[in-house]
Amino acid sequence: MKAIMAALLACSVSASWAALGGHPAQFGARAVRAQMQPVTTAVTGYTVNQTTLDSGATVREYVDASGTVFAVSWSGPVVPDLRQLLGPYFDTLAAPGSNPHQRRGHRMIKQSDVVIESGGHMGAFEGRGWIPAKLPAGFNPMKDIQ
Amino acid sequence: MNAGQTTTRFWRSRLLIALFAAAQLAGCGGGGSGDTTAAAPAPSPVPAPSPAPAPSPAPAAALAANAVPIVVDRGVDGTSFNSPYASVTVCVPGTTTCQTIDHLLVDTGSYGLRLSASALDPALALPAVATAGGAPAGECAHFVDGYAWGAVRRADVKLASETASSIPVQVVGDQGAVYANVPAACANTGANFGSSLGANGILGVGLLAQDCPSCVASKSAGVYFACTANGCTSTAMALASQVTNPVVAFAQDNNGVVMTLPPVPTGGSTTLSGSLIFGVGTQPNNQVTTQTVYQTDSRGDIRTTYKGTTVTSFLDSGSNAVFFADPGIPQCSGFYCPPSPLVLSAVNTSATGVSGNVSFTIESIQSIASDVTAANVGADAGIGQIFDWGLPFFFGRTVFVAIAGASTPNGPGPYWAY
Repeated sequence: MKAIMAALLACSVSASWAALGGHPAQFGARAVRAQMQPVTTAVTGYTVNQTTLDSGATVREYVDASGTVFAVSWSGPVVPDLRQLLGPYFDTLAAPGSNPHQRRGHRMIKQSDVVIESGGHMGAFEGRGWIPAKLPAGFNPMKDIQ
Repeated sequence: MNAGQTTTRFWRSRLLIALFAAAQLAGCGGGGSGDTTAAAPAPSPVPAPSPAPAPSPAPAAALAANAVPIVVDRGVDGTSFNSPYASVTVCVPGTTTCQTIDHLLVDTGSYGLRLSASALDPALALPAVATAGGAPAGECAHFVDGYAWGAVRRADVKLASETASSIPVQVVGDQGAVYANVPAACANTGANFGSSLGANGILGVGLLAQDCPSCVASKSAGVYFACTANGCTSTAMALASQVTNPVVAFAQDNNGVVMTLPPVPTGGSTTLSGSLIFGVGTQPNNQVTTQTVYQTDSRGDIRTTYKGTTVTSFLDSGSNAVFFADPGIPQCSGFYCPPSPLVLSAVNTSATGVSGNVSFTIESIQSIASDVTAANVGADAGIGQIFDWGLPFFFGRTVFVAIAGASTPNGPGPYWAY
């Protein structure tokens, strides 16, 4: 019963969470010592939210003028909650690959609707995702996503 | 084999149910709590005592007492590629009830032994490791490709003449009732990697002694879990209870490993045999001689400069390609596909500034015949500022892995030498 109530509570709290493609996620609601630390503001019409999670992982959300997250990145000793960070695109990452020789050691998903990369090794992970159609004018993922 | 397949299917179906449940939970907005509600579990069956399974025959080739063979073959399901495998014997601690398990992926990019439950004899009743609060410990091991979920249990781990007594290992897909449901906090980290496709488990012999130093202080790392009938909750875990690199628990030769593999020609090899030697500078067969020592940072990384760009890098025998960014090389099927083999070069630089050139060859994945198990292939690492020296780096080399904090004749680890 306790667990069911916890699940219901999580639903009511998380109803507005969206992350990539939606509004910034509320990591603070779950992380014990989380702090929001905006590192860059209004460089070219977007802002960056950086959150250091209690797990030691750092996540960044790139938010455009309308409040939509168009890119995210993560790094740290463990993998953060990517369903929370990638929102509706998490299922794309979690789906198994289908190539005859499947890559092992680095994930790369390049679709017209989303690009997701995941690399590193145990104890030092990093990754990022972005929505090509929603990048602000002049935004270069290679240079501008940290 | 049939029994094993049935077990695997059974486990997979349970996992699918668990994943479905986790998806339901998370579907309300992404995340939810770390708990997954479990149905009231039936009591765990206690396996009847049985005689020790017959030991596997010793390998034909004469190997040193501190070395085990490595084979790069197609794995247990015929799909493996650039995957180095070794066998390990695991025993109920302090007993002669043992089982030899083949096809463990030799991985310098992770730490600790992970065994697929479907490869384990149910009679091998390994005792559960408890959390600080006394609950059976579950683990969600994070990998780049996804997570491995299972129980933390103790085993004596035997490799050649070396024994790691009563160390924590992970049993991936453990059949114990309290581990039956993958917690949402685990399932939300990526795909279900299991014990690696084509393998019976993973033998992590990288630079660290335990698999999650950050889990000592953080209870929300989503790696270690306290598991009860109500589900599994993320918890902190003391180093002594974490899944342990077996090498550090050996009585000797416990400061690292040496991996040797023969060169692989253009077109690839249909089979490849090498060895995994225990100890660095402890025996005549594991001395650093002509090799250069590359000290790593605390994360186990060095730096690689390729075509004018310097990025974070590491040596990872568990990666099946060299992953690096080069927009000039054509791609296909997720790998690089140059029209003819490319001879490339990069410079590796240690954390203390020692540097050296690396020449490497990349050939097209499309030029590799279907029966080839080892080849010099590469793949795009995207914009992530990473250079992952996967298994092809190890071809034709002797690579030393000195564990963090361990002393060697060439100074303390962590370092790579090659």
